Amino acid sequence: MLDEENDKRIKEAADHYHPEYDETAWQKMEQLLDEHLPVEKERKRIFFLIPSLLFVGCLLLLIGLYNWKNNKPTTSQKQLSKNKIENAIVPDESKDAKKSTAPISLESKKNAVTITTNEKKAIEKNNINPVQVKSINNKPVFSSVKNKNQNTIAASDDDFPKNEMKQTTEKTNNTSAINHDDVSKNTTIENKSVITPREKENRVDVEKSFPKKEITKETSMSKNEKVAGKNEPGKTKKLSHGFANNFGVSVSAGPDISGVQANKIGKLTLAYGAGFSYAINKKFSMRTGFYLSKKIYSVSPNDYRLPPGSSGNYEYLENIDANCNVYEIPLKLDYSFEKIKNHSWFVSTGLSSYLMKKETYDYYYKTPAGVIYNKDWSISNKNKHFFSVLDISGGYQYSLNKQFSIIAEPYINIPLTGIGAGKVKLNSGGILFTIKAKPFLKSH
Amino acid sequence: MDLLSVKELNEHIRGCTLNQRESQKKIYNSFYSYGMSICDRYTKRREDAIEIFNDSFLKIFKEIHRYTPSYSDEMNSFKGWIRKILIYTAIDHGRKNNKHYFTSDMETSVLYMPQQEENAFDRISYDEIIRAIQHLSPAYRTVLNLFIIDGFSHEEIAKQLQISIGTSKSNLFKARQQLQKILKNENKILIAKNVG
Repeated sequence: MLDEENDKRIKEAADHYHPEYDETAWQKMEQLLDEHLPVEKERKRIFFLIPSLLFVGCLLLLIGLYNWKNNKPTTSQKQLSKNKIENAIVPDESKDAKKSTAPISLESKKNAVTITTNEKKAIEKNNINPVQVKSINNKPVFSSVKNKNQNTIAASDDDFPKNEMKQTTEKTNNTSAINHDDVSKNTTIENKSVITPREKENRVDVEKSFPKKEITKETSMSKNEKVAGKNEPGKTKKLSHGFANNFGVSVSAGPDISGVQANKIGKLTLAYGAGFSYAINKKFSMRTGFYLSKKIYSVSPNDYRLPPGSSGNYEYLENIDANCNVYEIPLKLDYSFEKIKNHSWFVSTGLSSYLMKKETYDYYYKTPAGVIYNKDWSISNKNKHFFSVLDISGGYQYSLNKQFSIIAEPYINIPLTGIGAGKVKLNSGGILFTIKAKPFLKSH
Repeated sequence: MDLLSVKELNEHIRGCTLNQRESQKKIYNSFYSYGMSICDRYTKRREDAIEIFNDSFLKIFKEIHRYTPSYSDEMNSFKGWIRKILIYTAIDHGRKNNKHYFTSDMETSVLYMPQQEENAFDRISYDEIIRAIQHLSPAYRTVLNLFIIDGFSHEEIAKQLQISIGTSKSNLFKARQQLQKILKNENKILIAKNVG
């Protein structure tokens, strides 16, 4: 038929018609894509990641500040330390030296102790400073004894303007009013000029010890006021001791098993890694780490979402076997029950991030004729699931000493989103055995 | 433009699901000739054809995450998928531009081809046939494309264009006649008088 021939010709024309590529067409297409499908998804991931990391960093900083503040000494502790310092000051002040430097007033003059003749002789004989002989009740000593063999010195108040002391050594038969000038010249004793070497030594010793302590006390007090506890060795030790006691590192390993459904449990594998922990207080602590594990499981096509662009006769798909290398980064909060001797129990919860390092999937097909065949597919570093897995665990901790402890921790991981290329609800469970150490704490 | 292998096609399809611009450009360029050969048949102007083509690929990129191959030949499976989208987009485009696009009885247009030699029929190029199809009236052009080239039945055409089956058959008959007239000139004859 002619129509058929024409139709055939028309079809051939259509099959052989190949328009040339036009670059302007792509430019228009790009504008459409920018308008309707803008490239923002990756930025959103980064924007999600950065605030999360900032949040975790701020949280750790707050915990550290809270702990440091708790180690800071309180006012009562300051007072206690102050009292200790005061008590530490040398009590036996040289009052003689003190008094010897102070001016002697008229009042004190009146209260002066009288030196007897015998005492005077002893003084003269041994060349002892009269001040040192008698210093009862901190009163200065004046010579006012009348003796026919001694000149009496009648001194006016003017003669004792400043710590003046009269010392007679000459024996004269004649009593005579001593010229004031002579007295002032010959017999006036000022503490400043008539200080024996021993007294001088004592004074120096006192000056060395006593004032220094005062300065030390003042210095320490002022520093405490300004920078509380910083320069006091006791408080610095407390701060570092707090951090050393709260910070811990650990290494862990244990069996892990994964599965999508209860009747399709996967293969037992080994999970291992290392972590850090920090005790917020006696009850709560936070930890994180980096762990490696293998997730080997089997899943039915109903529970497996085929990646777009996948090729194959999916109507014949019977089963998918998965073998995935996973990096796990948990962020967990622990609650510890009361510790009895070296034994303690705890519960823990948190969120983990799964980084799928390598995923290998074996697709098993069965044709209506009964022919079974398989096809495999691998991807690497493709799927990342941040804070997408809920961790729940509990455990037992035995403290070997103050520094080391061992932990047994059964756990389960429940996915909050689909995991891997097939977006499966991959559950995991196992037991983690951990050795924990406080590296900055010295064991006693 | 270089054709993609099946492996490359699958890789770029995955890239398109992640909205990677490189993969989108690669697929767009690889299927440009194939897609434009369809769009050119449904419209008279090249600008309109590009608009239909771009609108189609926007839909393709939006829905590519839902795509699964219908049969084992993955390349043809993908071609078939985008072909459908291109055709439906072309139909929508025509409907949008003219309310009575598929029902009105447009005036026949006759294209006078340059005088050719007696056996010029054999020398009618494919491009010329396509150009002649482009010059058909919109209603006839659409039915002719759908029935003869794209393999739709009259029932499917009627459902798609929201016309009756009778109108579809009538438009096809008239499209063939008009095409003959367009290609027929002093020395260019597409068909002889119907003898049987």
